[in-house]
Amino acid sequence: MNSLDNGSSVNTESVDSFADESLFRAFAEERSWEPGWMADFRKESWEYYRAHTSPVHKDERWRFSPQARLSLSAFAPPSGTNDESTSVIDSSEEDLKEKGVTLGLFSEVLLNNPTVLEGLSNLKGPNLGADKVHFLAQAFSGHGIVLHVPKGVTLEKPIMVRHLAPPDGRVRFYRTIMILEEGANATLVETFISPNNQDASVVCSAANVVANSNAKATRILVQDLNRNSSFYQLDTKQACRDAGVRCCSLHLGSAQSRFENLAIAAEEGAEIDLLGLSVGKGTQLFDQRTRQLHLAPNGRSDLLYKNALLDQSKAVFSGIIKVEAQAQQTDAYQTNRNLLLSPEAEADSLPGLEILANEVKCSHGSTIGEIDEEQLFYLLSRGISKASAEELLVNGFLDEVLKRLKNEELADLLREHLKGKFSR
Amino acid sequence: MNYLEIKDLRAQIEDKEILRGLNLTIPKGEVHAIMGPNGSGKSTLSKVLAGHEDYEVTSGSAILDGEEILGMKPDAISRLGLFLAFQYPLEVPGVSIANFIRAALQGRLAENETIDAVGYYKDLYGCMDELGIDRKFTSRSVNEGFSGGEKKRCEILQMAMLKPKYCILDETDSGLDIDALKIVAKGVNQMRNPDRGILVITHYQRLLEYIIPDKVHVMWEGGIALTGGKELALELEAKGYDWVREELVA
Ligand SMILES: Nc1ncnc2c1ncn2[C@@H]1O[C@H](COP(=O)(O)OP(=O)(O)OP(=O)(O)O)[C@@H](O)[C@H]1O
Ligand SMILES: [Mg+2]
Repeated sequence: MNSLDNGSSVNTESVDSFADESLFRAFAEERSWEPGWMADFRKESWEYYRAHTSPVHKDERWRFSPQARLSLSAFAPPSGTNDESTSVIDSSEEDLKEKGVTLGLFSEVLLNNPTVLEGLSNLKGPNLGADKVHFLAQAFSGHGIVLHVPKGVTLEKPIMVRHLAPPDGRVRFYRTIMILEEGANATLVETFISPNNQDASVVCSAANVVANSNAKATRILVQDLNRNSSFYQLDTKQACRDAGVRCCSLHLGSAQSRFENLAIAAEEGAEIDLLGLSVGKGTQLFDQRTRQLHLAPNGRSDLLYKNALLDQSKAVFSGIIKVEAQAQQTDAYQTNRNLLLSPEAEADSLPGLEILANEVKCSHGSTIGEIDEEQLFYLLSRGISKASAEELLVNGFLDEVLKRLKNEELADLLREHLKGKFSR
Repeated sequence: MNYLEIKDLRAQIEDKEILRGLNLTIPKGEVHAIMGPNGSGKSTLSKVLAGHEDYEVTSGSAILDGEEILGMKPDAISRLGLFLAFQYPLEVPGVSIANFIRAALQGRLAENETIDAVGYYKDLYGCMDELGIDRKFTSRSVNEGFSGGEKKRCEILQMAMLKPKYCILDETDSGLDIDALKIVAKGVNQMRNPDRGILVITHYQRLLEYIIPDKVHVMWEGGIALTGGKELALELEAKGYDWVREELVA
């Protein structure tokens, strides 16, 4: 039933059910209610997927990654039916309709309000290595969330969304489309959790956040899946003229996760903050790739990724700041800090700059530090157990990132999730 | 049962013996002082008792109310009732004083018990007011950016909150201005009671004018060389450590 892929895809995959034409057809068949442009877009994406050959083991963008762990080959593609309702939206903002806001599940919006998504094929993936997975996300997306905020509208309260991972052995592709028109302001918080502690499944979240001129977009992602799951976060954020995008990802769960983050300061005066926090236990893997792309003058981007690694967990960070020649007066910063709480924990950090403009302020830095034994002794000497001391030190280490959110309510929400990580 | 009894304690670090057969008993209800030249092993003694794992204990015992503490983990020793005010308190970025002390108190409770937040803050603010620590400090990271004197006061704050059975204050007076010294001494004196033994390590007789010790010990090359009443501190101040050396030779 499965077609052989002749080794052209991810090198560890010998059987690739995603490339199986009959399966894709069946998926498309189930979704024949979709607009024609969507069907075309799926087909085109799927063909790209099939045609795309990248020997991952030679790809610089997968350096240091134990990529075999992230393979999708053992998992079954989703079916096209709109099966269970897997995402719950909680919005205390009452007058969304009145304000002209579109908020709904991806399939819902596609059915009821498809014009909002007409530009979908223009919303690119980050393409920082997992390009094929992003093509799959475009071809097989059935879940996810759409938030469109019209010109000048401010949503005071954050929109909260909870996504449930698929059952054992399956992959599910979630699209997040967040588009803020001129001067709009909104916050979206998405949490990914598993239905139980056992099911091994894959969640792929492919998000596009677009802040048009003077808009302010905040997007938080919390990944708290069970320890048998895999997670892909493939994000592209774009800030237009004088717009601001602030993003924060908290990664606590999954056996392995790959997150790719492309942030584009597309027009003059765009400001982007990219925040990341991860806490690894057991043999968890966090594979992080980022690109801050400055296309226009007077932009600012600031990245801070912090990883606290216990046991045998591992983090890989590879980030690039790219400033195009025309993007003068850009301020761009990139910082990756890793705290190793165990001698077996591991971090690799590859920060990088590619600056083509001459009047810019850019810096990048990375640190890999071990826990300070004297500091730990100080905490223990107060009767704090080793486990609690580690929790305090990890929270202390991550606090800098939470402060950068500049929103105590959101920070507290993330703190709650962090608490859960240590009580498990 | 009611004392901290150290017998023939020998401890080394990197094959260098620092404590060389030290004997000292601190009964509950008493305040003892240790004075001694730099490098004689005062801080080493306090860290060994607190369970620091860099020091290797090669012989001896330290019994706290009947229980051997040598070889125990630092957190267990603390929960048994020993408190060490550090000579050089550590900075803990991102961890607020309030959360730090709360975690220490939580560590003393059974797993299903939690601290009552209202009562906790009442106690905490009460102690802070007594010690002249601004209440704003509760949300500051432990010792981060504190002045030398603020760090020492914060040690005493922790001690007051944890209510240990035995306290060791390692040069808590160093770096304190005159007013702070009085405040800290007052804080320590308030903790004096029949159920608590206190050991103050100091270089200065002045502290002992405010915290009047029951006994003064002189530490010399890893052992207790002389023991006397509070007048011994005055004598030391007047005659210096050369006098101790001569006494020892004689
Ligand atoms: N970690 C260590 N490694 C090597 N030597 C050490 C270590 N800790 C202490 N020592 C040595 O042990 C000796 C005793 O040090 P300790 O700090 O106990 O002295 P002290 O009496 O507290 O001195 P002070 O009055 O200056 O505080 C010193 O010679 C010191 O250099
Ligand atoms: Mg000392």
